[in-house]
Amino acid sequence: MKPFFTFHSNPVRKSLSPWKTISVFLTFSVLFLSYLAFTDFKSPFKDSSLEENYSSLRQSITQGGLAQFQKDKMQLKNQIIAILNSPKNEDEETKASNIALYLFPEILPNENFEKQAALELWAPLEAEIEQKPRSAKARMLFEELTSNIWNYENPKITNAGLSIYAAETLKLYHAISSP
Amino acid sequence: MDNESQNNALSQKVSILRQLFPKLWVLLFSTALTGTIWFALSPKKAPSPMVIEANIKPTLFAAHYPANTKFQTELTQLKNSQTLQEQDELEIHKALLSASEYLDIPQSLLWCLLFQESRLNHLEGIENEKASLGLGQFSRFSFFEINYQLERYSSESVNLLYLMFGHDIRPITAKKRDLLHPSSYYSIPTAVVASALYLNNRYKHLTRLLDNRAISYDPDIIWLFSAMAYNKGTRSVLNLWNTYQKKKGPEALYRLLNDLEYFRRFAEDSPLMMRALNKIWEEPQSRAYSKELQIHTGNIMACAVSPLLQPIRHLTEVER
Repeated sequence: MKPFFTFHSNPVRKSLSPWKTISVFLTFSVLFLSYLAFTDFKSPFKDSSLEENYSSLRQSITQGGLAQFQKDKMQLKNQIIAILNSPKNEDEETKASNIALYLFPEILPNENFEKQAALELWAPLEAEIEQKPRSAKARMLFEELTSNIWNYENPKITNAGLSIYAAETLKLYHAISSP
Repeated sequence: MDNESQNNALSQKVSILRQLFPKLWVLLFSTALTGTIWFALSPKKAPSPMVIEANIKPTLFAAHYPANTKFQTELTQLKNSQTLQEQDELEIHKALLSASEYLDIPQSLLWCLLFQESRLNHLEGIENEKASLGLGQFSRFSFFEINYQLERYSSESVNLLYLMFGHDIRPITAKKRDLLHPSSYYSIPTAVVASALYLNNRYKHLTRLLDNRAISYDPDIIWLFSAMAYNKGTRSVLNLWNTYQKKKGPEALYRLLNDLEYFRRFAEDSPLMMRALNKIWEEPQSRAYSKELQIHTGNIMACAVSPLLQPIRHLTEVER
C-alpha cells in the first residue's frame, strides 16, 4: 500500500528550504523597514504620554500639593508649546490644542476662535481657584467653572457627554477646590 | 419824409415795447415766484432707489411659520389630537412675540427652535424626570446661566423679566409641584422667556467674538449659528468656523457668515461637520453629535427661513 504522506515526497516541504524561508523573511523585513522610513509613523506612546501627563496632574495635586501641581503644569505647558510649534501630525496637534484650550488658552494661535472664549469663560476662574485652593470661595468658583464648560460644550446631559479634556479639567479643579 | 416815416415807425415800436414791458416783467416775476415755491416745497434730498435697496435688507426669516409642510402637518396633528391645547399655543405665541421683540430675535427662529426641541410640550420630561426639560429642553447648567450669569452677555437682558413679569422671577427651576408659578420653567411664559434669553446669550457671545476680530457678518446668519450653539454648544460652532477657515480660507469664512447659500451648503457638508466635531469628541460620540446637529440645523432652516429663499425639497422633506 502506498503511504498517504512521506516527508521526502512532499513538494511543499521541498520548496520551503531554510534558505528560501530566511530570504523571504529578510525581504519582507526590508520592505517593512523602508515603509516605516518613508512614511509618518504614528506612535501611540507619544500621544498617550501627553495625555498621561495631563491626567497625572490630579496625582500631583493630591500627592505633592499645589506647588508640585504648578511645577508639573508648567512642564506640560512647555511640552504643548513644543508640539503646537512643530506638530508631527494632525492628531497630535488636536490633542495638544484640546489640553491647551482648557489649561493654557493663552498659547493658542490668535486665529483660533476658541482662544477668546476660553480666556473669558474659564481661564480667570482657574487662576482664582489656584490662588485660593480648598476654600469656600474656590468651591463657588468651581461651580461657575462647571456651568461655563458644560454650557460651552452643551452635549447630552450624561456623564459621558463632555469631551474627555473638559471632563479631565473639571476633575482636576474639583480636586483643587475640594476641602 | 422818409426820415419822418422812419421815426414814426420807431416811435410806434417803442410804444409797443413800453406797453409790453410791464406784462413781461409780470411774467418773469411770476415764473421766479413759482420756481421759488416749487423748490421750497420739494424734499431737500430725494432718495435714489439704489439707496433704499442698500439700507432696507429683507430678512431671511419667514413671516409665517412653520414654513415647511412637514412641521405644518405635525402641528395640525398635535392640535387635532389635543396634545397641543389651543390655550397653550396662544400663550406660547404671546410670550414669544414679547420676548422676540425685546431681544430682536427673529420670531420664526424662536418658534421653530421650541418646536424642534419639545414639539411645544411645556411639560416635556416631567414624568420621567429627564436631564433636559420643558419647552426649550433646559438642563441644570442652562438654569445656572439664566439664574446667576444672565448679565454676562448683555446687561439689558434682565429688563425683559421685569417687562414680562413685573419683577425678577429668578431663580427659575423646574417646579414640578407648582407648575404655574412664575419661577417654574413648566410655566409657559417663563419657559419661552428663559429659552429666548439663553438663545440670545449664544448670539451675543458669537457676535462679540466676531466683533473682537473685526469680522463682518449678516446678523440673520449668526442667528442660525446661534440655534446650532443652542443645540450642541458654542464650542461646536467655533470648531466648525476654525475647520472651515483652515480648509477653505478666510474669504470663504466671510462668505459663510454673510451668505445663506454658503450656509446651506455648509450645513449639508457631513464630512466637514464630522471632522470639526471629531476635534472635540471621540469617534462614536462625534459621529452621533454631528448627525444630530445636521438634522437639527436642517429642520430649523426648513421651518424658519422664508420659503422664497428655500429649495422646494427643504420645504417638503424634513427628517426629525
